Amino acid sequence: MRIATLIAAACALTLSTGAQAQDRKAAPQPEQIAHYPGGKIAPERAYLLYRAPLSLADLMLLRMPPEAKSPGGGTVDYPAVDPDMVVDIAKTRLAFLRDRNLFLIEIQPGTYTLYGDIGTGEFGFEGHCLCMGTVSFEVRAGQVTNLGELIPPAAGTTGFAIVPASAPLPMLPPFTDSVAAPATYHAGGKLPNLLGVEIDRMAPIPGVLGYERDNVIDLASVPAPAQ
Amino acid sequence: MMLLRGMLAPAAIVAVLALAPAAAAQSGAAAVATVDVAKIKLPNLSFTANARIAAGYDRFFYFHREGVDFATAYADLAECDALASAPIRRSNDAGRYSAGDFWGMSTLGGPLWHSLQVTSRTRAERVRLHSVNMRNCMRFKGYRRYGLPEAIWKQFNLDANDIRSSTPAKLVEYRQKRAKLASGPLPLAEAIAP
Repeated sequence: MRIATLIAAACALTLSTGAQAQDRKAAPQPEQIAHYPGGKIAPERAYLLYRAPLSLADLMLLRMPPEAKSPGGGTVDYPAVDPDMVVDIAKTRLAFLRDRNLFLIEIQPGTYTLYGDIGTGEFGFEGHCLCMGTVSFEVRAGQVTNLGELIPPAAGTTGFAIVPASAPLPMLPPFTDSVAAPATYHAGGKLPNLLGVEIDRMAPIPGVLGYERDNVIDLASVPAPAQ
Repeated sequence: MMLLRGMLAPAAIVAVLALAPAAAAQSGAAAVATVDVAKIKLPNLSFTANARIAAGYDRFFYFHREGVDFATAYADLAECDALASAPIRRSNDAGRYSAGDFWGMSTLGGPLWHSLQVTSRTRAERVRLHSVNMRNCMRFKGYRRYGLPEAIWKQFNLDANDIRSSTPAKLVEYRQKRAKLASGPLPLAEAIAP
């Protein structure tokens, strides 16, 4: 299925974040972004949905990177990054609702790590790599995975935040039989600064990602305190 | 940069990564295992601050963290040096969008002048990026930052444009000085914004 054809694809989607869910207790209603007569979803492909301002719209992902290892003695051995692992999702964008900053992406199924927001400028690649803390998530074939909402850092701070989606969302054609399933995030390890951009780390995510100085804490694996 | 977003070619990234090292390891163990910290000579950090000196604090500074030992400080600096010194990667898209000033291009020497301008801006960007990245990385590691005059800073730091042409021995020597400062007594000066 050609991406160029799919750019005009119709999808009906909405994005609900944890914050929004608190404001809106009724079931979220699908929204029509575009019309795509006769559209079909490729069962062997996967789809990503997220809301982001334009400054964070162009994400770079790494597909199935191994984790960085710390063998001790103050060393950090970064994972080898094969070029085939790099996914510039700006090139796989299917639909974009400008006034709502909603993006729908077609992507290979698999496990991904969010590498950063990467663009180009006068000097080459620009943006931020989440080299010192990020998240991984799985996207499954024939499904829409909802990443939630990306929020830029406040003035004077670093690290954009993700507010994960809180509940499955119904989709309109051609995703009629689908729901946008909230992404299940896991804390990701350190990554090399492959493109010579600004190094950063994702803001902490309750229950998912935390930090102890520069050490990434996988909060999902931390046992709950005893009652 | 925002206007340029969405134009990034996957082929450009693939081409860049094909040239990038498959893995980078920053070992701090070898450089600290045998060193006698007491014998590492530090520059005199005394100076009288003024507005002109303070204007350079974005670029000229050192780090300190209470309670950290020399080996840990050295490893932290080594890790951040590696992240901050990653070379700027050109993309296939970047050249077309150069914000270069093309005045004088039709006159003799115009292209040379333009080339010098681009080189100058690239060197300045490399310095800015290196400073920002060191500040971010060391802040995440819990270090505080203290400003210095350029003349003192140069005694144990390299300009971002000179790092790659420097010898490994010089890099280790300077990093040892920075690690001794970072793990030494609490500076008397006020910490500056991270």
